[in-house]
Formats: sequence, C-alpha cells, structure tokens
Amino acid sequence: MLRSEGMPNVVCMVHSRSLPTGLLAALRAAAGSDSVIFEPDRLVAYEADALTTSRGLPDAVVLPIDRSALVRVVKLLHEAGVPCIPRGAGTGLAGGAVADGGVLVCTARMRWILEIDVEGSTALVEPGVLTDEINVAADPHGLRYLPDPASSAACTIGGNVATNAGGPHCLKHGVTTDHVVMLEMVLPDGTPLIARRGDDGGLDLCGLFTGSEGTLGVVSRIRVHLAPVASHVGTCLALFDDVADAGRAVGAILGAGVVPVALELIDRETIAVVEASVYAAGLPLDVEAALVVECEGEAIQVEGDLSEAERAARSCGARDVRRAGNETERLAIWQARKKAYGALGRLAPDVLVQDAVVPRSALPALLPRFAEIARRHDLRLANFFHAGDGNVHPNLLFDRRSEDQVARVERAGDEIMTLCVEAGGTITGEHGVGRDKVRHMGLVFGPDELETMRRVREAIDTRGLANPGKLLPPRVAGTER
Amino acid sequence: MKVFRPASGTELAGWLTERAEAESVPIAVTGTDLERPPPGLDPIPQAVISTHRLGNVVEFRPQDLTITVGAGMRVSELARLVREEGLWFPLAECGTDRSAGGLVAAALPSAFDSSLGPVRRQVLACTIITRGGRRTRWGRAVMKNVAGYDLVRLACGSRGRLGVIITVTFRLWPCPPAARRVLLSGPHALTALLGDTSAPRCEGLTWRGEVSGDVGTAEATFIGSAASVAQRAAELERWADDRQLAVEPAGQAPGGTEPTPVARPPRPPTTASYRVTFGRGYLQAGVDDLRERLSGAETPGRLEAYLAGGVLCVETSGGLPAGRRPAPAWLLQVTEARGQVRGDPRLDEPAIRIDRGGPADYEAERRVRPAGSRHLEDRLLEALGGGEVSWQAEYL
Repeated sequence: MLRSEGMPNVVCMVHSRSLPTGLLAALRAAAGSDSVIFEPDRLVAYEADALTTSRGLPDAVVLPIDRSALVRVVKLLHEAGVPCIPRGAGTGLAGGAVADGGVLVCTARMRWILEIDVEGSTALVEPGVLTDEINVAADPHGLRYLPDPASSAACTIGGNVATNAGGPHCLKHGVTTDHVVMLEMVLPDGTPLIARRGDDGGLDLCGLFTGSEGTLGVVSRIRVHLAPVASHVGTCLALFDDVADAGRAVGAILGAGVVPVALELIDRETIAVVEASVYAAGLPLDVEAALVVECEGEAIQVEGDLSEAERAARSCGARDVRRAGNETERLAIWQARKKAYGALGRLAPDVLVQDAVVPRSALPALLPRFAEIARRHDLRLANFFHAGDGNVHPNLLFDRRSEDQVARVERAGDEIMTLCVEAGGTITGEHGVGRDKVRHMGLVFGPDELETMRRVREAIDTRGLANPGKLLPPRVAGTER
Repeated sequence: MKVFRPASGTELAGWLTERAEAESVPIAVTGTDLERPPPGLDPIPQAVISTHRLGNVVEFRPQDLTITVGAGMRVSELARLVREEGLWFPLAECGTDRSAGGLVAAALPSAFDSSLGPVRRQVLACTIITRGGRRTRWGRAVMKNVAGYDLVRLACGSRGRLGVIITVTFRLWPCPPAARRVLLSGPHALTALLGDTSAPRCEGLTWRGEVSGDVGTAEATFIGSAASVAQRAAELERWADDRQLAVEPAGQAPGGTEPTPVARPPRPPTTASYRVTFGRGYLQAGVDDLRERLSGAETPGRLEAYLAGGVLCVETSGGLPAGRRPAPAWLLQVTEARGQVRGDPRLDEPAIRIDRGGPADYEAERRVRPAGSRHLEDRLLEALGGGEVSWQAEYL
C-alpha cells in the first residue's frame, strides 16, 4: 500500500490482478508515482485509439517524463515478462496503440524540442512533441517539417514514426520515413540504440524502425529533417460531375509533367457533411467529386504548374476549376479536407476508414466499385483521400451498437480490401496494420514473406513482449523455416 | 576463379543453393560484365557474381509511374527507356553510369536527392536471392506502403550483405516540361549558394572540385514550366554575377526532356573513393578540411558533393590509400570534428561511409558505428539469411 502523491491523506491500493506482484510499485519508483495509472476507471480512457471499434484494457499505463524513465520502465517490463504497448496521442486509426493486458507506455509527456539545428536543417525532438509543434518551433528559422498527417494538431511525432504516417502533402515530399534522419530507440529489452540511415556504412536501421508500430521497441528521440518554407503556395479546386473523371484527371495532371505537393480527392458525400459543419469552405454541393491541387515554389513556378493542372483537369471533363484567391480561402479548403474525418460524426457515430494503396491507373475503375459495394451492403460511403499517391480512404459509416451494421461493415470492408489488392495494391499506405489489418496481411504477403518479417521481429524482440498481436499474424504451427 | 554470370534468378538461386552448405566465404557481387575479378581485393573473394546478364525489363507501367528491371540494367538504358514514354528517372544523375542493382545496393547519392528524395525513396520493391539461395520479394509497386516492416529500406545501401538484388522496382517521375542547368565556378561557390537564402532555389544541386586549390563548380538544375525555368536560371546567373562567380550555362534542354547530363572528366586510373556524410550546413567546412589534409598529395584527386543528403564523395588517385584499404585515421578525425559541431555528439555521432569498401573497410566502418547497432545488424543479417560480408556495387 502506498500513499498517493499530491493527495497525502488518501490511501490507495496499488495492485493489479494480472501484473506480477511488486511490478506496479517498481514502475512507480522508476517513472514517478504520478506517472503510473492503474485505477480501472482511469484506464478506461486508454481502451481504444481512434479506431474505436477495437477495444481492450491495459493492466496499467505508464507515462514516462523523460528518456531515462522510459528506459527504466521498458527494462522492468522486459524483466517481468510483461507486454509493453507503446502509445503516442492515441490518434492512430489501426488499433495499434491498444492493449489487451500488459502495460501501455505512453510517450505523450516527453515533449521537449531539444534542438533546432538551423545550419544542418534538422530538429531533435522527444516523441511526445505534437507534429504541428515542430513547425511552430521551426517556422521562425524559415524551416518546416514536411509530412502533415490530417491529425497533425493532435498526433505526436513518436506516433508518426511508429506508423510511418503520411498526409495530404506527401505526394511530392514523401512520408515520415523520408524525413527521419536519426532515431534513438529503446529496444524491447530496455537497451538504448541509435539508429541511423545507413550513412555510417551500416544498414538503414532508421528505415526499419520507422513504421514498425512499436513491435521493435519504443522511440525515445527523433532527429527530423527540416526543409525551407515554400516562398509561394497556390491551390486550386477542380470540380467534376463524375467521380471516375476525377480519377482520370489525377493521371492526366501528373502526365502533364506537374507534380503537385498535394493532389486530394473529396467526394459528394464528404462535401455535403463538411459544408454542413463549422469547417464549411464554400465547396459546391452539386458536384460528384472535387480535386484539391496544391503546388509550391517560386511564384512563376506555382503559376505555371497550376495552369498545367487546370488544363489537364478540364481535358478530363472538369466542370469548373477555381483558384484559392488568398491565404484565407486556401486554408479554408485545407480545413475542410483535414477535418472531414471528424465531420463524418454528423452522419454516424462510427466510421471504418480503409487505407489501401492502389496503382493510380486503377482509380477510375475502382471508385464506382467502392460505391457499388457500399450500396450492396446498405451502407453510406464517404471518400476523401490522397489521389496522387493512389492511397484511398473509403469511409464506411455505421453504428457499432448495431451488430447487424458491424457485420455488414466488416463484410464491405473486406470486399473493398480484396478489390484493392487484386488491382495490384497493398492494404495500408499510412495508417499502419495495428490490430485491425493483421487478418489482411495474408492477402499481400506469402507465408515466406511473413516468416521473414517474424524472424526480423524475433531478432529484436526476443521475448515477444513488444506490442504483441499487432502488425504480423501469428505463426501457424509447422511453418517455421 | 571465374566470374559467375547467371542469366536468370533461378539459375543464380540454384548456384547459391549448391554452395549453401559449403564453408562460408566472401562472395563479391557486381553489376559489371567482368572476365575475372579485379586485382587488389583484400581479402580476395572466393567467388564473384555478375548480374550483368539480368538486364531485362520485368514490368513497365508508365501510367502508374513504375518500372521493374533486372539488377544488371544500366541506369542510362533505364533512363532512355522511360524517356520514350515521357517519363523521367532522376537517379540517372548519379555521376557515372551504374547498374540498377549497384545503384540500390550502394545507395548512391544523386543530384535530385533534395527535391525528389534519395535512392531509398525511389525504390518501391526489390527481389533478393539470399546467401542460401532463397528468393524473397520485398515491397510492392505502389507509391505508399506501410504493411509490415519496410525491408526495402534495409536493402538500399546493404551492399550485398542481405543477398544478391536481382530485380528493382523504381518510382518514376513525369518528364518536366522544361529543364535547364547553370554552372557556377569560383572560390566557395558552395558556401555562397547554400548559405544565401536570396539565391533562387533549384531542384538539382551538386558540386565538384579538384582537391588542390579552393575553386569548385556548383551545378544547379532547374526543372518545371518553361517560363519558370528560364526566369529562375536567369535570376541565378544575375545572383552569381553579383558575387563574382563565373557563370557557364550548360545543358539547356528543350521542353519535354529531362536535363541532359553534363559530361564528366574521366576518372583517374587508380582511384580511392570514400563517401563522407556531413550535415548539409557543414559541407563547405568538410571540403576545406579535406583539401587541407590532401594538399600534399602527389596526384591530386577530385571531390564531389551531393548537397541534399549532405553527402560528400571524395575521389582521389593520391593522398588517400588506393584500392580497398581501411580509411585513414585522419579521415575519421575529420568527420568526428565536424560531427561535434552538432552540439550533441553522443546522439549524432559523425558518420563516415566508405563507398568502395570491401571487408577491410567494413572493419574501419565498424570503428565509428556504435556497438549496439553492429550487434543488432548481425542479428538482423542472420534473421534475413544474409551471409559473410559481400558487396554489390559497381566498382568491381
């Protein structure tokens, strides 16, 4: 029994039904008593990430305040044989930061921006720093961090690294892994490790750890690359009466030699819900799809690229192409795009968001088929996605309190996933596999490939305690090499 | 010893399987068509595999901006093929003509790293045959993919340690409507260009200079619409005039083609080549350090910088040990000195990468890499079926 700090007169029981005796006390000693949560009513806050259909409770949550506390905590869990489930801000969409027993290690309180190295164009940050906060710190130096997941105001850079997050502006500039220069990891046994990009003659361990979803350890520090702030940015909105035409226009714009920084598609259903919300940007309600095209560079470069994109969009049947006349209009368009996911809450309490990536040429044929699948299962579908990358996000709306709806959503989701894989695609482009897509891994990887990945995991996580049950399906007996 | 030149992945897999049980010996892999192994390798590889005959197009999807080719295809040939479809392969701008497999295995820097991303971003998938003869495919021909571990990134720069790369799927880019290159020469052209935010931004940037003297030439390449390219190139020329840098317009490509590569001087007959990585802002200081150290060399070599990734390539026929010898201690010191500028030496230890490294240089590299990552790599190599140190690059 320990006294709860800050409440000296209250005596609380420190125990857990599942954790080994003494572990909670050891965790409190290692991380500070106010950094450990074990009370059932407080644990409920951690029962899901942004994929609310996938739930589970940890035995405890630890929120280390710094790197040394993190190392001590991971080491303790390893020695005790207790699963360690890393978590950032819990904005992930794949159930990757959800526990089913074990201890959730949340790095959201490690929030120092340790260095902005202007000359070397990098920033050294702790994992709990919000993605947008890096930009706030870098902006006075004329620098910025390029990847911009739609949840950048709430998600942490540590979570971005764990999932290799993308975002609307990744078409030209690349995703998280393209902007991580160095990672400091705490391996599953508590050993700290500096992982670099292979510039030292070694393997690109940074590339391996980025996107490993906490199955190879917890990230404790990150050095990201910063790029100069764009001198000019221009955005236009191409409006279409047919969603397949919008799909064709994506290829036509790129075929014209223009590589926009962002090339996003928003469909009619999404426009309707966004325009009914506080994020309304004046998008027309009577179009089937809109493409958001953004280009940046010198003023003349932006003008040239947007003109080319406009010509290409019109050649594919765009009804109208509108330019954002000023920064306010441009930000309104992005606000509408980035807040679309939240706005879907107006239509239904739950959303199943898919994240497949398909070859771009398959988009015009696939988009009508997504709609057909949703119709067949009597579900509402909203599309807004990174069309330039072929990274589709068909959002199926439902109410998880209805078993029938959940069953229909799962069937429709599986059909969409299978369709994308058959078109030469993959199951996830930026959200990660988490717990949600483990069952789909067999669609894209053969037994040999999965076995190779398991061996990589086991080489680093020797006791199988790092975020178990995520990323890879369990080995079927008899398939070991 | 003969050089084994498989005509297919199956043939190579069979050859490796036959030898899988044999005593583990160093195998060298090359993309070049060789009759016999070059002299001077230390230790001498017991076998050499040339992927030269694996130079076919496996799948070309212009609409999806992807191409899959055999590892032995020359990058110049690859660039020509995709150009016929109005597409662009920016990695062709990597100094000299390489094989696709060598380019990836050595993760060579290229001129457009800063704007389009380095090799590891341009490679979407690859097929590898492990030391034991097992064929494995990593990645997919799509623009984004976070399903499972990103093993493709491990393959980039693995230099044969994971096995023999036999096919590579590259990301392609639309051919820019116009392209133009401007050459700037003078003392500290590099510092001037990097340090001055008033200089117009370009998409491609490299720098070359002799070891002796303090002069170098920066190559700035602009791509985009014709008007944009013309205006920015003219601005850069004015900017350079104001700073008394010599301006030499070069490679003004007509619309619809990629930038025409600038002719390079031939390499010196015996060359040692090292690749040193600095933070972008420290390149000029790195160049100055190297020049000071090399100033007494009998046969001055040349220095090459790819500015985006902060990569400085050093090529010399004097001053540095020729062939595949360990990196000299002073070279390590130079990088260490620069690394300390970063303020947190423990976290950002200096990096040195020795491009032409065989086993001897591998040992030198191990000196500057933390023990933890070395052990981790050894475990990974075992898990992935890698073997003895071997290397897959162009230089053999």
